[in-house]
Amino acid sequence: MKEETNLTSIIIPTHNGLHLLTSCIEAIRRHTEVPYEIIVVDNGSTDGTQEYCIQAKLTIVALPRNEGFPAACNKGLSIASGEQLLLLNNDVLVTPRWLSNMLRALYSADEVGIVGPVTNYASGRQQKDIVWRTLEEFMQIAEQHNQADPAKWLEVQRLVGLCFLFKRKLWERLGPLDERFSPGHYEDDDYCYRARRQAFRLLMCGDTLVYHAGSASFAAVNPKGWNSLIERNRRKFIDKWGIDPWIYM
Amino acid sequence: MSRRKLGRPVGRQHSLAITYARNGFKRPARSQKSGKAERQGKIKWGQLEHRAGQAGYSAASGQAESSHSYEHLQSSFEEWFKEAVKGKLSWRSILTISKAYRRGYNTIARPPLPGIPLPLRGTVSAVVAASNEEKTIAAVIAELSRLPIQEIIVILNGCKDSSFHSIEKNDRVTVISYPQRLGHDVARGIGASLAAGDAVLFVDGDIVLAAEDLAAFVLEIDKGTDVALNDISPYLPPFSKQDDVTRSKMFLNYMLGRPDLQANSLTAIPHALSRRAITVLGGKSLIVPPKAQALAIVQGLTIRAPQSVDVVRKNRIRSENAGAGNEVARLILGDHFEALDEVMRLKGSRLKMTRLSRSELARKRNRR
Amino acid sequence: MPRKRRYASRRNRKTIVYKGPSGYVNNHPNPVVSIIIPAMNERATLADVLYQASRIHRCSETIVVANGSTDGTPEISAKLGARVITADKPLGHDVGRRVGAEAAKGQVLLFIDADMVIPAAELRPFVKAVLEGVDVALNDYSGPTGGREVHTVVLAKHSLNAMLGRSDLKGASLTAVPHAISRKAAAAIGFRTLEVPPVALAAAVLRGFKVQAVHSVQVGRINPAKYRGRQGDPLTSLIAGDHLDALHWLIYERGSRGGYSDLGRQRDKVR
Repeated sequence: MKEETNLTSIIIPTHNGLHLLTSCIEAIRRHTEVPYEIIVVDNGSTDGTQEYCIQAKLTIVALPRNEGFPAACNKGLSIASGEQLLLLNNDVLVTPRWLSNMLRALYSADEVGIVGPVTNYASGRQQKDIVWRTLEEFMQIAEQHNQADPAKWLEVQRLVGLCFLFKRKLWERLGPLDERFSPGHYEDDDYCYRARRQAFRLLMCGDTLVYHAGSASFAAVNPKGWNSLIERNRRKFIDKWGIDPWIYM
Repeated sequence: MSRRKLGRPVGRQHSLAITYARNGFKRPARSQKSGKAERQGKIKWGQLEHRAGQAGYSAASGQAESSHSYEHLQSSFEEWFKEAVKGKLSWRSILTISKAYRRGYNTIARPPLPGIPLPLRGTVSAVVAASNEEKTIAAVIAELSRLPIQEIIVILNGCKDSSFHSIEKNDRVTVISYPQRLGHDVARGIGASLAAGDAVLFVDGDIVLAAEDLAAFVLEIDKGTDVALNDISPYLPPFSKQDDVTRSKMFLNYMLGRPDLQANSLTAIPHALSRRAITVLGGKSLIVPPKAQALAIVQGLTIRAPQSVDVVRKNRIRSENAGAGNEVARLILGDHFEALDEVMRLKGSRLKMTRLSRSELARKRNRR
Repeated sequence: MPRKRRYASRRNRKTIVYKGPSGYVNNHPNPVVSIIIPAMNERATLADVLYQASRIHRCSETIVVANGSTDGTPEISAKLGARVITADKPLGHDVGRRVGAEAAKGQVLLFIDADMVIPAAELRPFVKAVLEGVDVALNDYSGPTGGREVHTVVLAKHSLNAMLGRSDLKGASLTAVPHAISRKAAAAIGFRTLEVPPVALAAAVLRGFKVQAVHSVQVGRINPAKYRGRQGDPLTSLIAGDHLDALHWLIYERGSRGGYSDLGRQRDKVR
């Protein structure tokens, strides 16, 4: 399919997660067979993230402070040059054929706007029950699992932002992520909602499994804060749209 | 104007002093480039400057020492300016008042603040393009930090030196680093895509320009102009000695009906653009500066050249040292072709130059 | 002959030498040099111009392209022995050059104007250059470049040469006379192209012909009226438009950058 040869811009916001970031990048470099560019958006890290990116010859947007997930994504997206745009959490490890599988789904129809994979840990329908012991085992499972299969694509109403692939024309039509949801949570719900209002469709790629470590950093450091943040942002979504985002999960 | 201006430049030399020196230390005529309020005689010079100094002094003395900061200097100045100054002033006058206020403030503030306050209506971003400029990049950013610029975007590309590490952590600075070389002027397009300010100032990372010199461009855009260019006319040799690049810049301006711009062009830095200009021109055309220049004229954007900053001499020295000067000159000629191609698509191959047929013209010219 | 005497006394010039009863202008059947003179209502200077033309080369022909004249220019030319080509309506300078070039038999085409008397000694270098291998021999005259404001036409000529990569030519052009072109080059470029002189120059350079500014004739001083035109002068606009045509043609031939590299700009990095 010719769209697969278009460039995918992979935007990875990160904050003091160097060890996660290095594995994330390594996995992308190993398992991606289609053209891509990586843009790391550094939210004021102090753990050597910037030095690593420079050494690893990555394009990096080094922000002066932690501006949160949506703002960081927007900065990366505004300088991305790809025809497809992908938001990726730094605690995601991609797997064999991850991107080519998802691109097939993205370009399967004109109205498809956003696609996302299934994973071991995510809110909503994308979480899949996987049993594994080591990361190597997980990768082997993924290798077997990631056979392209359109029958496994499922129409959904919402996709999580941890691995979020969308078309440039969506960016042009909808504009940036809504930064009122800073530092994070529900900006992805908001974007999906806006996309559907413009008659775009969302597909969950049941044929693409990726690894997600989970909100290890934020939740571990600040468990109560995390819950209240989620609650606060859910309120913001309801205030904005008059709808509870939970109905779409 | 303060008498001090007429003597040797105090502290940092800047082009205002050079202009005075060139004019034989005569004050430029009041009517030249002065604002409406001044021309109407509504402003009494010595008084306003004096009041500014006093206001700065009281603003600083009204604050605890620990809260003396550029932010406070800027906000108190803006407040005072709104009340004290009615009517439109030229950017030169505004800068004089700013500096007077700051002098007053710095009588109290310890250490004295380097920043210059400016009365702005909108926000300002700066875009700095650099490749292997570890020697100068920190100083460039330091000067930009002296102006009320909310967002300083530094775009490094293809750096093999320690440019990234020579940039000090600064609350207002975002650094984008590309491992590969992007090519000439591409960084400007990228910076324009990211910049969020109402006015965007473009500079290069290899030439340190004083904040006082850059203020003019920021003020010009803030007051409503779309494109503020560097007026390099004073630095050009007479026509017969000008180089190809200068001639092509002038030619483009003349052909598009702007002979008043002479050789001033978006090719040179510093320059500033309004949000409207960036939207109309698009980041892609900024990659080919003469093309952006041509489009700016043709699309009816307001274009002024408020200030002269000598980047010409410095550039000439550099390109004579490198051998690559010629290569870049040829690139710029090619850019002018692209610019002409673009406007010819819009306006026809003769850009609306006379349609008079040659026979009619012959009859006119040979009237007996 | 009373008419001739009156002519002479009105102009108060030195005596004219006539070579023969049929006029003094050469019209060799197999000329080496063709001197082409577009003319409209130039009887005041015509005889002098033709006299100088006759002294350039033994083996020459002189072609006067007289269009839409009302003062007897064609008749005077014919009487003085020139080949005359006429048309009903005025064609203008540049078209006249084409018409003359098409009719010319010589291998060297020398173009001069009928309202400027240039001594033969100043014209011979152009012929000599072409005979020695130069294809386009230009007047090494760049126009007034000393003032504060540069004239649009002077700027246009300099700019075209710069963009052709021939800034050594400074402000020389095929708009200005005198200039000489080898007939071989003129035919290769196309005689029609001579109607828009800047395009002809661009074509000559592009096709690899030898283009040089060979001799300086200060035409500005001889004919100030032509070159002191105001910026708003329609002729200025026409000549400027011609230069734009030339650049447009170069873009067509060499691409939107006129053949110059952009040194590997990564343009796709900006959307």
